[in-house]
Amino acid sequence: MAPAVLLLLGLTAYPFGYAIYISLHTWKVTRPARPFIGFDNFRELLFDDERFINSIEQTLIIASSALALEFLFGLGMALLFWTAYQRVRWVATGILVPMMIAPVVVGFTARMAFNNSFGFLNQILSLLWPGDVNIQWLSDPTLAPLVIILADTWQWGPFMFLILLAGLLATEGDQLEAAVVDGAKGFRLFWNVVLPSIKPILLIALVLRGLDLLRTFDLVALATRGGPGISSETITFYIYNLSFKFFDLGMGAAAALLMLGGLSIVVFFAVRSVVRAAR
Amino acid sequence: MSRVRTRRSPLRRAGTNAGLTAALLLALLLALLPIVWVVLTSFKPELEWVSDPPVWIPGDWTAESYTQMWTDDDGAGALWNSLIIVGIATVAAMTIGSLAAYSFSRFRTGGRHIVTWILSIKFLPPVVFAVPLLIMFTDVGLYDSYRGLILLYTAFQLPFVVWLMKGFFDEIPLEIEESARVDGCSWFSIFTRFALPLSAPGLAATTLLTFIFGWSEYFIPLVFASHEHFTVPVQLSAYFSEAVGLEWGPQAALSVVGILPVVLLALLIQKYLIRGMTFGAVKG
Repeated sequence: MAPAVLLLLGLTAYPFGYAIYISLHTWKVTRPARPFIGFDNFRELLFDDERFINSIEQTLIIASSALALEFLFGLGMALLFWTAYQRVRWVATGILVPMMIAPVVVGFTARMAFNNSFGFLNQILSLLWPGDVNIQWLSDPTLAPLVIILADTWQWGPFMFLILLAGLLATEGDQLEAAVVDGAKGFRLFWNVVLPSIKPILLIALVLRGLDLLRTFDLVALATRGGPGISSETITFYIYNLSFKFFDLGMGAAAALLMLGGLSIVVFFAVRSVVRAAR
Repeated sequence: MSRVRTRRSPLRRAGTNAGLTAALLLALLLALLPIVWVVLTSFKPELEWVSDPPVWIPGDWTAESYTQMWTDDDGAGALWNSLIIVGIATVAAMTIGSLAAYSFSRFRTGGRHIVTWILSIKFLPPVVFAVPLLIMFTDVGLYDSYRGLILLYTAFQLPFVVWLMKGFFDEIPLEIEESARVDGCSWFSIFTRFALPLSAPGLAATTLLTFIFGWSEYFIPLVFASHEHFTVPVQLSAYFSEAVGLEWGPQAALSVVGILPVVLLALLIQKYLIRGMTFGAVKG
Protein backbone atom coordinates (compact mmCIF):
# COMPACT_ATOMS: atom_id res chain seq x y z
CA MET A 1 0.00 0.00 0.00
CA ALA A 2 2.98 2.26 0.34
CA PRO A 3 3.16 3.12 -3.38
CA ALA A 4 -0.51 4.03 -3.44
CA VAL A 5 -0.27 6.36 -0.47
CA LEU A 6 2.97 7.96 -1.69
CA LEU A 7 1.56 8.63 -5.13
CA LEU A 8 -1.59 10.17 -3.72
CA LEU A 9 0.32 12.25 -1.17
CA GLY A 10 2.69 13.58 -3.84
CA LEU A 11 -0.13 14.55 -6.13
CA THR A 12 -2.29 16.15 -3.45
CA ALA A 13 -0.24 17.44 -0.49
CA TYR A 14 2.43 19.28 -2.48
CA PRO A 15 -0.01 20.96 -4.90
CA PHE A 16 -2.15 21.88 -1.93
CA GLY A 17 0.70 23.74 -0.24
CA TYR A 18 1.66 25.34 -3.53
CA ALA A 19 -1.94 26.45 -4.08
CA ILE A 20 -1.93 28.26 -0.74
CA TYR A 21 1.31 30.02 -1.71
CA ILE A 22 -0.10 31.14 -5.07
CA SER A 23 -3.36 32.32 -3.53
CA LEU A 24 -1.52 34.80 -1.31
CA HIS A 25 0.06 36.59 -4.27
CA THR A 26 -1.06 38.66 -7.21
CA TRP A 27 -0.11 36.01 -9.71
CA LYS A 28 -0.93 36.62 -13.33
CA VAL A 29 0.59 34.65 -16.16
CA THR A 30 0.85 37.81 -18.24
CA ARG A 31 2.82 39.76 -15.62
CA PRO A 32 6.26 38.87 -14.29
CA ALA A 33 5.81 40.68 -10.94
CA ARG A 34 4.10 38.58 -8.29
CA PRO A 35 3.76 40.67 -5.13
CA PHE A 36 2.59 39.16 -1.85
CA ILE A 37 -0.84 40.51 -0.95
CA GLY A 38 -1.99 38.42 2.00
CA PHE A 39 -5.62 37.46 1.89
CA ASP A 40 -6.71 40.10 -0.61
CA ASN A 41 -7.65 37.53 -3.26
CA PHE A 42 -9.96 35.80 -0.80
CA ARG A 43 -11.45 39.10 0.31
CA GLU A 44 -12.12 40.15 -3.24
CA LEU A 45 -13.80 36.86 -4.11
CA LEU A 46 -16.05 36.83 -1.08
CA PHE A 47 -17.02 40.49 -0.97
CA ASP A 48 -16.40 42.10 -4.35
CA ASP A 49 -16.74 39.37 -6.92
CA GLU A 50 -20.35 38.99 -7.97
CA ARG A 51 -19.35 36.41 -10.53
CA PHE A 52 -17.95 34.13 -7.81
CA ILE A 53 -21.11 34.46 -5.73
CA ASN A 54 -23.18 33.84 -8.86
CA SER A 55 -21.24 30.65 -9.55
CA ILE A 56 -21.94 29.40 -6.03
CA GLU A 57 -25.64 30.16 -6.45
CA GLN A 58 -25.80 28.45 -9.83
CA THR A 59 -23.98 25.40 -8.49
CA LEU A 60 -26.35 25.10 -5.57
CA ILE A 61 -29.43 25.58 -7.74
CA ILE A 62 -28.27 23.06 -10.33
CA ALA A 63 -27.05 20.50 -7.79
CA SER A 64 -30.11 20.62 -5.55
CA SER A 65 -32.64 20.59 -8.39
CA ALA A 66 -30.95 17.77 -10.26
CA LEU A 67 -30.54 15.76 -7.06
CA ALA A 68 -34.22 16.26 -6.18
CA LEU A 69 -35.40 15.30 -9.67
CA GLU A 70 -33.19 12.23 -9.85
CA PHE A 71 -34.24 11.16 -6.39
CA LEU A 72 -37.96 11.59 -6.98
CA PHE A 73 -37.78 9.81 -10.32
CA GLY A 74 -35.68 7.01 -8.82
CA LEU A 75 -37.84 6.52 -5.75
CA GLY A 76 -41.08 6.66 -7.71
CA MET A 77 -39.89 4.10 -10.22
CA ALA A 78 -38.37 1.89 -7.53
CA LEU A 79 -41.62 1.82 -5.54
CA LEU A 80 -43.57 1.13 -8.71
CA PHE A 81 -41.41 -1.82 -9.65
CA TRP A 82 -40.70 -3.14 -6.20
CA THR A 83 -43.03 -6.06 -6.64
CA ALA A 84 -42.40 -6.46 -10.34
CA TYR A 85 -38.63 -6.29 -10.30
CA GLN A 86 -38.24 -9.29 -12.62
CA ARG A 87 -39.59 -7.10 -15.39
CA VAL A 88 -36.92 -4.49 -14.83
CA ARG A 89 -34.14 -6.89 -15.67
CA TRP A 90 -34.64 -6.93 -19.42
CA VAL A 91 -34.63 -3.15 -19.68
CA ALA A 92 -31.95 -2.54 -17.03
CA THR A 93 -29.16 -2.72 -19.60
CA GLY A 94 -30.92 -0.23 -21.82
CA ILE A 95 -31.65 2.37 -19.18
CA LEU A 96 -28.13 2.08 -17.78
CA VAL A 97 -26.58 3.18 -21.06
CA PRO A 98 -26.77 6.94 -20.31
CA MET A 99 -24.86 6.37 -17.08
CA MET A 100 -21.92 4.78 -18.90
CA ILE A 101 -21.48 7.60 -21.39
CA ALA A 102 -18.86 10.27 -20.80
CA PRO A 103 -20.41 13.48 -19.41
CA VAL A 104 -18.87 15.41 -22.31
CA VAL A 105 -20.87 13.30 -24.74
CA VAL A 106 -24.00 13.97 -22.68
CA GLY A 107 -23.18 17.69 -22.80
CA PHE A 108 -22.69 17.59 -26.56
CA THR A 109 -25.96 15.70 -27.00
CA ALA A 110 -27.79 18.21 -24.81
CA ARG A 111 -26.39 21.07 -26.90
CA MET A 112 -27.96 19.53 -29.98
CA ALA A 113 -31.16 18.31 -28.36
CA PHE A 114 -32.02 21.64 -26.73
CA ASN A 115 -31.22 23.79 -29.76
CA ASN A 116 -34.34 25.79 -30.52
CA SER A 117 -34.25 25.35 -34.28
CA PHE A 118 -32.73 21.96 -35.09
CA GLY A 119 -32.94 20.31 -31.66
CA PHE A 120 -35.38 17.47 -31.28
CA LEU A 121 -36.69 18.45 -27.85
CA ASN A 122 -38.85 21.30 -29.11
CA GLN A 123 -39.99 19.01 -31.91
CA ILE A 124 -41.18 16.37 -29.45
CA LEU A 125 -42.78 18.97 -27.19
CA SER A 126 -44.66 20.30 -30.23
CA LEU A 127 -46.20 16.86 -30.64
CA LEU A 128 -47.42 16.80 -27.04
CA TRP A 129 -48.37 20.45 -26.76
CA PRO A 130 -50.86 22.30 -28.93
CA GLY A 131 -49.13 24.74 -31.26
CA ASP A 132 -45.54 25.11 -32.32
CA VAL A 133 -43.23 24.98 -29.29
CA ASN A 134 -40.20 27.19 -29.74
CA ILE A 135 -38.39 27.44 -26.42
CA GLN A 136 -35.00 29.19 -26.47
CA TRP A 137 -33.42 26.71 -24.04
CA LEU A 138 -29.82 27.67 -24.64
CA SER A 139 -30.10 31.40 -25.16
CA ASP A 140 -32.44 32.19 -22.27
CA PRO A 141 -30.45 32.84 -19.07
CA THR A 142 -33.21 31.45 -16.86
CA LEU A 143 -33.51 28.24 -18.90
CA ALA A 144 -29.81 27.46 -19.38
CA PRO A 145 -29.35 26.03 -15.86
CA LEU A 146 -32.42 23.89 -16.52
CA VAL A 147 -30.66 22.35 -19.52
CA ILE A 148 -27.84 21.23 -17.22
CA ILE A 149 -30.33 19.95 -14.66
CA LEU A 150 -32.33 17.97 -17.20
CA ALA A 151 -29.26 16.54 -18.91
CA ASP A 152 -27.84 15.38 -15.59
CA THR A 153 -31.18 13.89 -14.59
CA TRP A 154 -31.31 12.03 -17.88
CA GLN A 155 -27.88 10.55 -17.21
CA TRP A 156 -28.27 9.70 -13.53
CA GLY A 157 -31.99 9.20 -12.90
CA PRO A 158 -31.76 5.52 -13.90
CA PHE A 159 -28.91 5.07 -11.45
CA MET A 160 -31.12 6.30 -8.61
CA PHE A 161 -33.89 3.99 -9.77
CA LEU A 162 -31.73 0.87 -9.82
CA ILE A 163 -29.89 1.64 -6.59
CA LEU A 164 -33.11 2.33 -4.68
CA LEU A 165 -34.70 -0.76 -6.18
CA ALA A 166 -31.74 -2.78 -4.88
CA GLY A 167 -32.37 -1.18 -1.49
CA LEU A 168 -36.06 -2.03 -1.47
CA LEU A 169 -35.42 -5.62 -2.54
CA ALA A 170 -33.02 -6.05 0.39
CA THR A 171 -35.54 -4.92 3.02
CA GLU A 172 -36.73 -7.50 5.48
CA GLY A 173 -40.14 -8.92 4.72
CA ASP A 174 -40.91 -9.67 8.37
CA GLN A 175 -40.78 -6.09 9.47
CA LEU A 176 -43.09 -4.97 6.71
CA GLU A 177 -45.44 -7.81 7.43
CA ALA A 178 -45.66 -6.91 11.11
CA ALA A 179 -46.40 -3.30 10.20
CA VAL A 180 -49.09 -4.31 7.74
CA VAL A 181 -50.66 -6.60 10.33
CA ASP A 182 -50.67 -3.66 12.75
CA GLY A 183 -52.73 -1.75 10.22
CA ALA A 184 -50.09 0.57 8.74
CA LYS A 185 -50.63 1.46 5.14
CA GLY A 186 -50.11 4.01 2.43
CA PHE A 187 -47.95 6.99 3.27
CA ARG A 188 -47.48 6.06 6.94
CA LEU A 189 -46.23 2.60 6.06
CA PHE A 190 -43.81 4.20 3.63
CA TRP A 191 -42.62 6.90 6.03
CA ASN A 192 -42.30 4.80 9.19
CA VAL A 193 -41.25 1.42 7.88
CA VAL A 194 -40.03 1.43 4.30
CA LEU A 195 -38.01 4.64 4.39
CA PRO A 196 -36.00 3.80 7.54
CA SER A 197 -35.16 0.36 6.18
CA ILE A 198 -33.64 1.73 2.96
CA LYS A 199 -32.00 4.69 4.70
CA PRO A 200 -28.37 3.50 4.36
CA ILE A 201 -28.64 2.94 0.62
CA LEU A 202 -30.62 6.13 0.19
CA LEU A 203 -27.89 8.04 1.96
CA ILE A 204 -25.14 6.55 -0.17
CA ALA A 205 -27.00 7.34 -3.37
CA LEU A 206 -27.71 10.94 -2.35
CA VAL A 207 -24.20 11.59 -1.08
CA LEU A 208 -22.43 10.19 -4.13
CA ARG A 209 -24.66 12.04 -6.56
CA GLY A 210 -24.63 15.24 -4.51
CA LEU A 211 -20.83 15.37 -4.35
CA ASP A 212 -20.58 14.74 -8.06
CA LEU A 213 -23.11 17.47 -8.78
CA LEU A 214 -21.28 20.05 -6.67
CA ARG A 215 -18.30 19.77 -8.98
CA THR A 216 -20.17 19.61 -12.26
CA PHE A 217 -17.72 20.64 -14.95
CA ASP A 218 -17.71 18.39 -18.01
CA LEU A 219 -21.42 18.74 -18.68
CA VAL A 220 -21.33 22.54 -18.39
CA ALA A 221 -18.22 22.78 -20.55
CA LEU A 222 -19.96 21.09 -23.46
CA ALA A 223 -23.64 21.94 -23.06
CA THR A 224 -23.67 25.66 -22.26
CA ARG A 225 -20.07 26.75 -21.60
CA GLY A 226 -21.49 28.58 -18.58
CA GLY A 227 -23.66 30.81 -20.72
CA PRO A 228 -25.52 32.67 -21.92
CA GLY A 229 -23.45 35.23 -20.04
CA ILE A 230 -22.68 33.57 -16.74
CA SER A 231 -26.16 32.17 -16.17
CA SER A 232 -25.08 28.54 -15.95
CA GLU A 233 -21.51 28.98 -14.73
CA THR A 234 -20.75 26.56 -11.91
CA ILE A 235 -17.97 27.04 -9.34
CA THR A 236 -15.58 24.61 -10.97
CA PHE A 237 -16.18 26.20 -14.36
CA TYR A 238 -15.53 29.70 -12.96
CA ILE A 239 -12.33 28.54 -11.27
CA TYR A 240 -11.24 27.04 -14.56
CA ASN A 241 -12.00 30.33 -16.34
CA LEU A 242 -10.07 32.34 -13.75
CA SER A 243 -6.94 30.26 -14.17
CA PHE A 244 -7.02 29.14 -17.79
CA LYS A 245 -8.96 31.90 -19.55
CA PHE A 246 -8.16 35.05 -17.57
CA PHE A 247 -4.76 33.64 -16.48
CA ASP A 248 -5.29 35.05 -13.00
CA LEU A 249 -3.72 32.19 -11.07
CA GLY A 250 -3.82 34.01 -7.71
CA MET A 251 -7.58 34.47 -7.85
CA GLY A 252 -8.02 30.99 -9.31
CA ALA A 253 -6.08 29.38 -6.48
CA ALA A 254 -7.96 31.40 -3.87
CA ALA A 255 -11.32 30.43 -5.36
CA ALA A 256 -10.23 26.80 -5.53
CA LEU A 257 -9.20 26.85 -1.88
CA LEU A 258 -12.49 28.43 -0.83
CA MET A 259 -14.33 25.73 -2.71
CA LEU A 260 -12.11 23.09 -1.17
CA GLY A 261 -12.89 24.48 2.29
CA GLY A 262 -16.61 24.40 1.72
CA LEU A 263 -16.49 21.01 0.09
CA SER A 264 -14.27 19.50 2.79
CA ILE A 265 -16.98 20.09 5.34
CA VAL A 266 -19.50 18.36 3.10
CA VAL A 267 -17.06 15.57 2.21
CA PHE A 268 -16.16 14.98 5.85
CA PHE A 269 -19.72 14.30 6.90
CA ALA A 270 -20.61 12.61 3.64
CA VAL A 271 -17.73 10.15 3.61
CA ARG A 272 -18.33 9.38 7.25
CA SER A 273 -21.95 8.57 6.58
CA VAL A 274 -21.06 6.47 3.55
CA VAL A 275 -18.45 4.52 5.50
CA ARG A 276 -20.93 3.94 8.29
CA ALA A 277 -23.75 2.95 6.00
CA ALA A 278 -21.49 0.59 4.08
CA ARG A 279 -20.51 -1.28 7.19
CA MET B 1 -46.19 -16.25 5.52
CA SER B 2 -43.60 -16.36 2.84
CA ARG B 3 -41.53 -13.39 1.89
CA VAL B 4 -42.84 -13.38 -1.62
CA ARG B 5 -46.38 -12.80 -0.41
CA THR B 6 -45.39 -9.85 1.73
CA ARG B 7 -43.70 -8.25 -1.22
CA ARG B 8 -46.94 -8.30 -3.05
CA SER B 9 -49.02 -6.47 -0.50
CA PRO B 10 -47.48 -3.23 0.74
CA LEU B 11 -47.77 0.19 -0.84
CA ARG B 12 -48.74 -0.79 -4.31
CA ARG B 13 -52.32 -1.04 -5.28
CA ALA B 14 -52.92 -3.49 -8.06
CA GLY B 15 -51.41 -1.48 -10.88
CA THR B 16 -52.17 -3.13 -14.17
CA ASN B 17 -49.44 -5.09 -15.85
CA ALA B 18 -49.92 -3.11 -19.00
CA GLY B 19 -49.33 0.12 -17.10
CA LEU B 20 -46.06 -1.12 -15.67
CA THR B 21 -44.84 -2.34 -19.02
CA ALA B 22 -45.76 1.00 -20.56
CA ALA B 23 -43.83 2.85 -17.85
CA LEU B 24 -40.75 0.71 -18.47
CA LEU B 25 -40.96 1.17 -22.20
CA LEU B 26 -41.27 4.92 -21.74
CA ALA B 27 -38.21 4.95 -19.48
CA LEU B 28 -36.30 2.91 -22.02
CA LEU B 29 -37.36 5.25 -24.80
CA LEU B 30 -36.32 8.31 -22.80
CA ALA B 31 -32.94 6.75 -22.05
CA LEU B 32 -32.15 5.70 -25.59
CA LEU B 33 -33.75 8.35 -27.80
CA PRO B 34 -30.96 10.96 -27.45
CA ILE B 35 -28.36 8.29 -28.22
CA VAL B 36 -30.29 7.16 -31.28
CA TRP B 37 -30.36 10.82 -32.36
CA VAL B 38 -26.57 11.09 -32.06
CA VAL B 39 -26.03 7.88 -34.02
CA LEU B 40 -28.44 8.99 -36.77
CA THR B 41 -26.86 12.45 -36.93
CA SER B 42 -23.45 10.89 -37.49
CA PHE B 43 -24.79 9.42 -40.77
CA LYS B 44 -26.53 12.59 -42.01
CA PRO B 45 -25.26 14.73 -44.89
CA GLU B 46 -24.13 18.19 -43.86
CA LEU B 47 -27.38 19.94 -44.84
CA GLU B 48 -29.41 17.82 -42.43
CA TRP B 49 -27.24 18.47 -39.35
CA VAL B 50 -29.13 21.68 -38.66
CA SER B 51 -32.34 21.31 -40.61
CA ASP B 52 -35.38 22.95 -39.07
CA PRO B 53 -37.66 21.14 -38.35
CA PRO B 54 -35.20 18.40 -37.39
CA VAL B 55 -35.03 15.23 -39.49
CA TRP B 56 -34.54 11.94 -37.68
CA ILE B 57 -33.78 9.55 -40.50
CA PRO B 58 -30.97 10.70 -42.79
CA GLY B 59 -32.39 11.40 -46.25
CA ASP B 60 -29.15 10.27 -47.76
CA TRP B 61 -27.06 7.98 -45.56
CA THR B 62 -23.40 8.91 -45.69
CA ALA B 63 -20.22 8.09 -43.80
CA GLU B 64 -18.60 11.41 -44.70
CA SER B 65 -18.72 12.59 -41.09
CA TYR B 66 -16.71 9.54 -40.08
CA THR B 67 -14.11 10.12 -42.77
CA GLN B 68 -13.71 13.75 -41.79
CA MET B 69 -13.60 13.00 -38.07
CA TRP B 70 -11.19 10.09 -38.48
CA THR B 71 -8.62 11.48 -40.92
CA ASP B 72 -9.04 15.27 -41.39
CA ASP B 73 -9.65 16.00 -37.71
CA ASP B 74 -7.40 13.19 -36.50
CA GLY B 75 -10.01 11.38 -34.43
CA ALA B 76 -7.88 8.30 -35.03
CA GLY B 77 -5.06 9.96 -33.09
CA ALA B 78 -7.38 10.86 -30.23
CA LEU B 79 -8.69 7.30 -30.08
CA TRP B 80 -5.14 5.97 -30.01
CA ASN B 81 -4.19 8.40 -27.22
CA SER B 82 -7.24 7.37 -25.21
CA LEU B 83 -6.43 3.68 -25.61
CA ILE B 84 -2.76 4.10 -24.64
CA ILE B 85 -3.31 6.41 -21.68
CA VAL B 86 -6.42 4.82 -20.23
CA GLY B 87 -5.16 1.29 -20.93
CA ILE B 88 -1.80 1.66 -19.22
CA ALA B 89 -3.21 3.75 -16.37
CA THR B 90 -5.87 1.11 -15.72
CA VAL B 91 -3.27 -1.65 -15.46
CA ALA B 92 -1.09 0.51 -13.20
CA ALA B 93 -3.95 1.56 -10.95
CA MET B 94 -5.17 -2.04 -10.70
CA THR B 95 -1.71 -3.29 -9.73
CA ILE B 96 -0.93 -0.64 -7.12
CA GLY B 97 -4.53 -0.40 -6.00
CA SER B 98 -5.22 -4.07 -5.40
CA LEU B 99 -1.98 -4.50 -3.46
CA ALA B 100 -2.99 -1.57 -1.27
CA ALA B 101 -6.54 -2.89 -0.98
CA TYR B 102 -5.30 -6.31 0.07
CA SER B 103 -3.12 -4.81 2.73
CA PHE B 104 -5.99 -2.66 4.01
CA SER B 105 -8.28 -5.65 3.98
CA ARG B 106 -5.98 -8.13 5.76
CA PHE B 107 -3.74 -6.07 8.01
CA ARG B 108 -5.83 -2.93 8.50
CA THR B 109 -2.69 -1.02 7.51
CA GLY B 110 -2.74 2.56 8.67
CA GLY B 111 -6.07 2.12 10.38
CA ARG B 112 -9.41 3.30 9.21
CA HIS B 113 -8.43 6.92 8.67
CA ILE B 114 -6.11 6.34 5.77
CA VAL B 115 -8.78 4.40 3.89
CA THR B 116 -11.26 7.21 4.49
CA TRP B 117 -8.66 9.74 3.37
CA ILE B 118 -8.12 7.83 0.14
CA LEU B 119 -11.84 7.81 -0.51
CA SER B 120 -12.18 11.54 0.14
CA ILE B 121 -9.58 12.29 -2.55
CA LYS B 122 -12.03 10.88 -5.06
CA PHE B 123 -14.50 13.59 -4.10
CA LEU B 124 -12.16 16.55 -4.45
CA PRO B 125 -12.56 18.51 -7.65
CA PRO B 126 -9.38 18.18 -9.74
CA VAL B 127 -9.62 21.87 -10.64
CA VAL B 128 -8.34 22.61 -7.12
CA PHE B 129 -4.98 20.99 -7.81
CA ALA B 130 -4.76 21.85 -11.48
CA VAL B 131 -2.60 24.99 -11.47
CA PRO B 132 0.06 23.90 -8.94
CA LEU B 133 0.27 20.48 -10.58
CA LEU B 134 0.57 22.08 -13.98
CA ILE B 135 3.48 24.25 -12.84
CA MET B 136 5.07 21.22 -11.19
CA PHE B 137 4.61 19.08 -14.31
CA THR B 138 5.99 21.78 -16.60
CA ASP B 139 9.07 22.11 -14.38
CA VAL B 140 9.87 18.40 -14.50
CA GLY B 141 8.94 17.97 -18.16
CA LEU B 142 5.82 15.87 -17.62
CA TYR B 143 3.40 18.36 -19.18
CA ASP B 144 1.86 17.12 -22.41
CA SER B 145 3.49 13.69 -22.29
CA TYR B 146 2.11 10.16 -22.13
CA ARG B 147 4.06 9.59 -18.91
CA GLY B 148 2.55 12.60 -17.17
CA LEU B 149 -0.99 11.83 -18.26
CA ILE B 150 -0.70 8.17 -17.32
CA LEU B 151 0.63 9.17 -13.90
CA LEU B 152 -2.34 11.48 -13.28
CA TYR B 153 -4.94 9.01 -14.57
CA THR B 154 -3.42 6.30 -12.37
CA ALA B 155 -3.50 8.49 -9.27
CA PHE B 156 -7.05 9.65 -9.77
CA GLN B 157 -8.30 6.12 -10.40
CA LEU B 158 -6.56 4.66 -7.36
CA PRO B 159 -9.19 5.55 -4.73
CA PHE B 160 -11.83 3.77 -6.74
CA VAL B 161 -9.72 0.62 -7.21
CA VAL B 162 -8.72 0.54 -3.54
CA TRP B 163 -12.28 0.80 -2.31
CA LEU B 164 -13.83 -1.65 -4.68
CA MET B 165 -11.08 -4.26 -4.40
CA LYS B 166 -11.02 -3.98 -0.61
CA GLY B 167 -14.69 -4.96 -0.65
CA PHE B 168 -13.98 -7.98 -2.84
CA PHE B 169 -11.02 -9.10 -0.69
CA ASP B 170 -13.11 -8.70 2.46
CA GLU B 171 -15.49 -11.30 1.07
CA ILE B 172 -12.86 -14.04 0.75
CA PRO B 173 -13.00 -16.37 3.75
CA LEU B 174 -9.84 -16.06 5.85
CA GLU B 175 -9.53 -19.81 6.52
CA ILE B 176 -7.98 -20.66 3.15
CA GLU B 177 -5.27 -18.07 3.50
CA GLU B 178 -4.60 -19.00 7.10
CA SER B 179 -3.94 -22.63 6.27
CA ALA B 180 -1.67 -21.56 3.41
CA ARG B 181 0.15 -19.36 5.88
CA VAL B 182 0.62 -22.31 8.23
CA ASP B 183 2.06 -24.27 5.30
CA GLY B 184 4.72 -21.60 4.97
CA CYS B 185 3.49 -19.42 2.10
CA SER B 186 4.64 -15.80 2.07
CA TRP B 187 1.99 -13.11 2.08
CA PHE B 188 2.86 -12.12 -1.45
CA SER B 189 2.42 -15.64 -2.79
CA ILE B 190 -0.82 -15.97 -0.85
CA PHE B 191 -1.93 -12.77 -2.56
CA THR B 192 -1.05 -13.97 -6.06
CA ARG B 193 -2.00 -17.62 -5.63
CA PHE B 194 -5.18 -17.35 -3.55
CA ALA B 195 -6.53 -13.85 -3.08
CA LEU B 196 -6.33 -12.80 -6.74
CA PRO B 197 -7.80 -15.99 -8.27
CA LEU B 198 -10.55 -16.10 -5.63
CA SER B 199 -11.59 -12.54 -6.40
CA ALA B 200 -11.22 -12.96 -10.16
CA PRO B 201 -14.75 -11.82 -11.11
CA GLY B 202 -14.38 -8.76 -8.89
CA LEU B 203 -10.95 -8.08 -10.30
CA ALA B 204 -12.27 -8.24 -13.85
CA ALA B 205 -15.24 -6.02 -13.06
CA THR B 206 -13.06 -3.45 -11.29
CA THR B 207 -10.62 -3.38 -14.21
CA LEU B 208 -13.37 -2.73 -16.73
CA LEU B 209 -15.04 -0.09 -14.54
CA THR B 210 -11.72 1.66 -14.02
CA PHE B 211 -11.23 1.66 -17.76
CA ILE B 212 -14.73 3.08 -18.30
CA PHE B 213 -14.16 5.90 -15.80
CA GLY B 214 -10.79 6.70 -17.32
CA TRP B 215 -12.33 6.71 -20.77
CA SER B 216 -14.78 9.44 -19.67
CA GLU B 217 -12.15 11.61 -17.97
CA TYR B 218 -12.16 15.10 -19.42
CA PHE B 219 -10.50 17.52 -17.05
CA ILE B 220 -7.03 15.96 -16.80
CA PRO B 221 -6.32 15.81 -20.54
CA LEU B 222 -7.95 19.24 -21.01
CA VAL B 223 -5.41 20.84 -18.69
CA PHE B 224 -2.37 18.59 -18.99
CA ALA B 225 -2.28 17.86 -22.71
CA SER B 226 -1.94 19.91 -25.85
CA HIS B 227 -3.33 18.93 -29.22
CA GLU B 228 -0.87 16.13 -29.78
CA HIS B 229 -2.03 14.14 -26.75
CA PHE B 230 -5.75 14.89 -26.85
CA THR B 231 -8.00 12.03 -25.81
CA VAL B 232 -11.46 11.43 -27.25
CA PRO B 233 -13.38 13.62 -24.73
CA VAL B 234 -11.07 16.65 -25.20
CA GLN B 235 -11.11 16.17 -28.95
CA LEU B 236 -14.91 16.29 -28.77
CA SER B 237 -14.86 19.57 -26.87
CA ALA B 238 -12.16 21.05 -29.10
CA TYR B 239 -14.66 21.30 -31.96
CA PHE B 240 -16.45 24.06 -30.08
CA SER B 241 -13.42 26.25 -29.60
CA GLU B 242 -12.18 26.10 -33.15
CA ALA B 243 -13.09 28.77 -35.64
CA VAL B 244 -14.32 26.38 -38.29
CA GLY B 245 -17.95 26.61 -37.17
CA LEU B 246 -20.01 23.83 -35.72
CA GLU B 247 -19.29 20.44 -37.14
CA TRP B 248 -22.24 18.52 -35.72
CA GLY B 249 -21.79 15.48 -37.98
CA PRO B 250 -18.13 14.73 -37.20
CA GLN B 251 -18.79 15.48 -33.54
CA ALA B 252 -21.63 12.98 -33.51
CA ALA B 253 -19.37 10.47 -35.27
CA LEU B 254 -16.66 10.98 -32.64
CA SER B 255 -19.30 10.60 -29.91
CA VAL B 256 -20.33 7.25 -31.37
CA VAL B 257 -16.69 6.15 -31.32
CA GLY B 258 -16.51 7.31 -27.71
CA ILE B 259 -19.73 5.61 -26.65
CA LEU B 260 -19.30 2.23 -28.32
CA PRO B 261 -16.43 0.70 -26.34
CA VAL B 262 -17.78 1.64 -22.92
CA VAL B 263 -21.27 0.43 -23.64
CA LEU B 264 -19.90 -2.90 -24.86
CA LEU B 265 -17.72 -3.22 -21.74
CA ALA B 266 -20.63 -2.23 -19.51
CA LEU B 267 -22.72 -5.04 -20.94
CA LEU B 268 -20.05 -7.51 -19.85
CA ILE B 269 -20.15 -6.42 -16.23
CA GLN B 270 -23.76 -5.41 -15.84
CA LYS B 271 -23.97 -7.39 -12.62
CA TYR B 272 -21.32 -5.24 -10.97
CA LEU B 273 -22.36 -1.83 -12.27
CA ILE B 274 -24.30 -0.64 -9.24
CA ARG B 275 -21.66 -1.97 -6.89
CA GLY B 276 -18.95 -0.19 -8.84
CA MET B 277 -20.84 3.06 -9.11
CA THR B 278 -21.28 3.19 -5.34
CA PHE B 279 -17.67 2.32 -4.48
CA GLY B 280 -18.77 -1.07 -3.29
CA ALA B 281 -21.19 0.36 -0.74
CA VAL B 282 -24.21 -1.24 -2.36
CA LYS B 283 -23.77 -4.86 -3.34
CA GLY B 284 -26.76 -4.68 -5.73
